[in-house]
Amino acid sequence: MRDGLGRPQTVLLLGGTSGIGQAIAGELLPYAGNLILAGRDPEALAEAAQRLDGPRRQVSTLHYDALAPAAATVDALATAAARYGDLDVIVLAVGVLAEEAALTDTPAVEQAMRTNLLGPLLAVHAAAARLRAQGHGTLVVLSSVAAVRTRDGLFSYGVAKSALDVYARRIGRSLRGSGARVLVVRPGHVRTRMTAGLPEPPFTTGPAEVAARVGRALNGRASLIHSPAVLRPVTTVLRMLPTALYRRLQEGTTS
Amino acid sequence: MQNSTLVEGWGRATRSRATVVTPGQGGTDEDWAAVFAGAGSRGLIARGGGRSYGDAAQNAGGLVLDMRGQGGIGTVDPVTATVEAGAGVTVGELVRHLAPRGWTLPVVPGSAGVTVGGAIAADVHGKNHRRHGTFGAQVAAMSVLTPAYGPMEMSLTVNAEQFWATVGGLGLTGIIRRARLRLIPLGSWWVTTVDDEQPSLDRVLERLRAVAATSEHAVAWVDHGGAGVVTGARPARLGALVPGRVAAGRRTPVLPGRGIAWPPVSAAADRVRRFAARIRPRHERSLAELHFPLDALPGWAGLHGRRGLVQYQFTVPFGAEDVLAEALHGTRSAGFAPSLSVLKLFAEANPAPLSFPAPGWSLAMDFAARAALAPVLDRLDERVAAAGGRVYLVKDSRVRPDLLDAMYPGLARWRAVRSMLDPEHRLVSDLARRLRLTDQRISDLVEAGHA
Repeated sequence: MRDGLGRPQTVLLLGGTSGIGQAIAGELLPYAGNLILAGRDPEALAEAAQRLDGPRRQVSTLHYDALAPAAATVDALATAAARYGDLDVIVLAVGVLAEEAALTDTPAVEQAMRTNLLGPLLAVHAAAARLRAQGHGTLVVLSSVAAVRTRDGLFSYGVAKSALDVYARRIGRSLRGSGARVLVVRPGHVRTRMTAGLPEPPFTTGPAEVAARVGRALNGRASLIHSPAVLRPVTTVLRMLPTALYRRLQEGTTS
Repeated sequence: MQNSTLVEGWGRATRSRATVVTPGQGGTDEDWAAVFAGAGSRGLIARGGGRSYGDAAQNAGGLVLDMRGQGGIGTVDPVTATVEAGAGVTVGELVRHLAPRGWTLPVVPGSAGVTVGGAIAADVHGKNHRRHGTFGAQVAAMSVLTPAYGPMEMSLTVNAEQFWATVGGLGLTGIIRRARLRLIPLGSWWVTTVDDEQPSLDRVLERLRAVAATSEHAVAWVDHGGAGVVTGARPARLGALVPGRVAAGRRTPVLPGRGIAWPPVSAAADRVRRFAARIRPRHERSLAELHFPLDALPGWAGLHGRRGLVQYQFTVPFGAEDVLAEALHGTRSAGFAPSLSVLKLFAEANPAPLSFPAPGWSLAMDFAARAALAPVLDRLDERVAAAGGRVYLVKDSRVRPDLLDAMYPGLARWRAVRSMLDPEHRLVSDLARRLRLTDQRISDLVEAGHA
């Protein structure tokens, strides 16, 4: 249960090797609590678990593969709950960033879409169902500003995030009155392993900034936040720009 | 769950959604058994007047039984000096009902809205623990509906172990239906209270000891420096038994920010309290005013800001006075000013494993609920536990479960009795989940050294 001071006791991170996800988990459990890192790569998970371990924090790992059938996702959530009881916060941080040029053939596109779209979508569904039954808990979905206006070089990623963003907000609305809640987070460009080597557009931040913003939002009522906050008006403007002008802007920032 | 209701703790800092069900008045045992059968995987908890500061009477995603309709006050039996009351009767109703008949409850909590069932489940205490012990100790017998055995009569002689597991058992051993309560003769509806200002914590404690030894009621309010006002009470105007009207407190607004727990405001309030005690130490008050100070400001939690308040009440044995001093100084120096700090004195504990009072001092502090307060109170928990003290579970909303075994050495025994009465875990609350009170699996893990 979250306590009277807003602290969650148990946090599940789907996409346990995600840098932003780990920063959020660390932010939410600063002093004590249970953290479950769920992901595919056991070595990377074990390493992250060691890094996040603390005196009163219990960190464990769990096998979870976004590419697996839906039933496996449901099982992963049930296993996590069996370990520590109710899941107070589930952070969904599954995704890979592949340049459009790397998606050379249809199977590669399929792989990317299953990882960035289908897997996360099913995870949103399964997590929401579990939180609804619990009667409390927050599902934090890592979307992206790319969901609002996709960039040419990353349009598969953008389209996937776009769909995930819409789906998560929709499910969030369906949870009203259940005690459970969805918080969609749209970070801008964040310096992580995933974005290493990419050019840094304006308003680039680090995982810690995103985490701090999520931590604050969890004690409020928002269902959608941007990180940094300034991206909300910026993306609104970008979305309304004519395509030709947007292209020119994009070329300006990336070249 | 679409027909859910938001259920809040009295401090407004904890809240969750549950299906709230109001059972009919009376009802056969079969009707009540059906209630258990109807509880889904999230279980159920009985809720009385909703005066628990924290999450003891909340059950996220499950069932909450609103017991307030389960009323009925029997006639006083003058031979045994007892009265029978339904679990949903409030102590305020009882005190007012009994006074003209020349009787009263020996032990009452600080709010008139606490129900009989809630008072037993929390094993509440009054300002006279030294004289009468806790509320649970006044229960001559009670009828409890248990998941495993159905209706069960419990008393000191019948099912005594179950009786003490239910007293202070936070509603997790069964649904308390009715109780026969011990009474004491009442000499007057009016009491004279005397305030005594003291300049330091040592002097406050010394005076509180003296007042508790000679007066019926004794309590002290302290400021962050330890200075305070000790209040004692004794009956006035003997023979005047008719309850006077007590003006209902005014509803107070929700303040922004930390509200009255903002240090400059609380410091000013401290000065006002001391000044008032100095210029007018003696008051004639009604029994209701004496017993139920918490009802004077019905919106007290809201005065602490939008997120409400957490109350931190702990007890430490005599000799551990340094923990009291540290609690008062430490929270203040960390930037958290309690809006109210109240000291009491406890005598012998009763045999209930989860009962809060134990010989020593009790300090209750109200804080605006803010996330940054967590590490401050966590450190205090460790000091309290190390000194042989404990926090009051029914008021808690944030203690760490790993400290419970140290604070409540009888916890394992209580769990064993509880799991006999409710082997399928039908009874559960947010507090039980948060503190893993009914969770055998976790305690097994602790034993195995994994947790």
